[in-house]
Amino acid sequence: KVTIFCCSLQFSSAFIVTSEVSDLMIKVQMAALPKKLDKTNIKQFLSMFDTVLTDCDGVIWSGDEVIGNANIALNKLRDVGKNIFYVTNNSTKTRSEYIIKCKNLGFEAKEEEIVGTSYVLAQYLKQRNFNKKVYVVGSTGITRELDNVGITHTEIGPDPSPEKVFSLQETMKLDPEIGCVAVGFDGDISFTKIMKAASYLLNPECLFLATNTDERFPIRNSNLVFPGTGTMVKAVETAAERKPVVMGKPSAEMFEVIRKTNNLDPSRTLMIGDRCNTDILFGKNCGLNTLVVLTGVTEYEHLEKWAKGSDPEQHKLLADYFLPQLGDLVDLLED
Amino acid sequence: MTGNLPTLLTKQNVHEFFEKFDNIISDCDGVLWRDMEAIPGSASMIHKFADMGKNIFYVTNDSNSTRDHIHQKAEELGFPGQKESFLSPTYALAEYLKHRQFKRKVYVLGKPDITHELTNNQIEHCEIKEPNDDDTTCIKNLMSSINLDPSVGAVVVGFDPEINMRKLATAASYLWSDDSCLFLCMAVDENNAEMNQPIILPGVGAISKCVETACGRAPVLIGKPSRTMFDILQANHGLDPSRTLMIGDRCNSDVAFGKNCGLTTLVVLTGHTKMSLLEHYATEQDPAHKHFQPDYYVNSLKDIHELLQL
Repeated sequence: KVTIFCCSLQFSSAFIVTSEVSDLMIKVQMAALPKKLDKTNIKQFLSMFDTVLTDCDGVIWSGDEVIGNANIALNKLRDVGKNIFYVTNNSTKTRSEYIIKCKNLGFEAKEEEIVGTSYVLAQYLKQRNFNKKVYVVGSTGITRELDNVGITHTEIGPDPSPEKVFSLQETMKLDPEIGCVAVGFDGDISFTKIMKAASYLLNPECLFLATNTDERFPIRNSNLVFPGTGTMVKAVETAAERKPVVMGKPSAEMFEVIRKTNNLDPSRTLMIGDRCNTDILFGKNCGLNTLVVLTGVTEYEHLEKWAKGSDPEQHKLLADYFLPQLGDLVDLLED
Repeated sequence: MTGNLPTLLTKQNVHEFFEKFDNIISDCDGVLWRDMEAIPGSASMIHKFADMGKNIFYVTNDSNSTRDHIHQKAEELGFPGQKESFLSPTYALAEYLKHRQFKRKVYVLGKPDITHELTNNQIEHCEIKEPNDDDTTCIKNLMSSINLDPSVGAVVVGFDPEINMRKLATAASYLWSDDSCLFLCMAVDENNAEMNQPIILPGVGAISKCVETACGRAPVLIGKPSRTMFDILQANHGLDPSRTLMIGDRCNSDVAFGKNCGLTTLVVLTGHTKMSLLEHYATEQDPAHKHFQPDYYVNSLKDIHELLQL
């Protein structure tokens, strides 16, 4: 028999395992809950980073409304010398369109500080000297960023569903110029669009890019849920039997774009988000410090459930710190 | 490497092989017909099986048609059998709900064949509406115009060429807001790649995965490879799985179906599966793909006819 005493400074619990040597099994138990930021740890917290990457929807704004004092909190972080980047999976706006939204809602921002997935997608193609045409399932967010780097593309908008799908197979012609299928959020998603996208992807040389894979937006105080970009991407991915290269969180592509141009040190960078399987996982994938706020899709019960369970994949979703809302930083930064 | 390939039917083994079975279940698309045309030699082979004393059953994942439609198509293309020998997911769906004493309403993403079959079996469903040109894609306006019907107790995903954001949001919301709401999908077919055409049609599987992603849970599958359709045949005809052969063209539906039901499986290469796929499964290590490897394979039903005559 072997008795093992394990004590980890990182985990909040110690455990003893006694077992036969032949079937030695060390059960990984709980992981640590994110620590709540308060007056006792705020100084140490602030010393950990020089740069802040913040998610937008569910953290600093919800739709077209600021969340509490999020704007004051970010501006105060800037005052104490932190660099701010707005990092959003939302593919429906260009960087210049985001500046307008930031200004309207009281957030200081420069174009170089905005990192949206449509921008990243255009950069991805530009860096690879892409010189063909893009079939877009998405919005003007994508098409305008492609225009900004001189890459041609199809038009977005409703593509009417065919009356007789089987005859459309005979009559539809594919554009030989298309060398990439790009999928982002598309409110006009239709069978025809999925059909066209999957048909272009029959050619293995045709690139398949997705802006992000966020699954859904629960609508607070209602029984409704709104489909996210992940649903459109999954439809094309399944029909084409191919996986896309994903630009947005949790993929590290977004961080690569900022890191290169700004010479960032991941260990001195903080990621703030509300969606753990994108924002926080992104932070972990890139080696960043992480803070989760509870004004978006994550609730405290989710954090408790993941911490109590023994699934290492769920443990990866646990941020280092949490706050009920970003605006709480304002009081903490008072001193 | 070829050691792991399924066994090829040859003149040496073919007679003994078929003596093991009283029942033959055949898939339709890619085995008997492609779209509206019979595959040469398929009809005469099925007739031969009947002459050999085998009970013939047809199990298709085509959720575009009611059972009566499939039976009619088969008759027109020269295949024998009463309508009770035919099973499609639309009929299986109605049986599945009746078996569970389902008394609520069904929200259908699909074509009227599904709702016709439900009506035939006295199961209530929402109207399939024509997509509205006024359908706005602004989140706020769209969501405020969706009203969930509290009597809906099931969402069914079939082949839906009219899928749009409104239908997606509605289906996902029924499933998101009510844990007891059943989530059923007719098939897992990703596309119709086996037709080898430059334009590919998304399958039911693509739409189903879309809804699954939006609502965060997986559907119960009515079509192959789920057991549902075999359970209905077994209940109605008393089939012995150990004396039953499944013939299909799609490994991840037909072969997996056969294995899930304890049947022997034979793949023909006239449809989705090509030799390269069988070779791929034979050499790779993924344990999940063991479930897709058929016991036997042959080029076509026509080939079996020729082998039996030698």
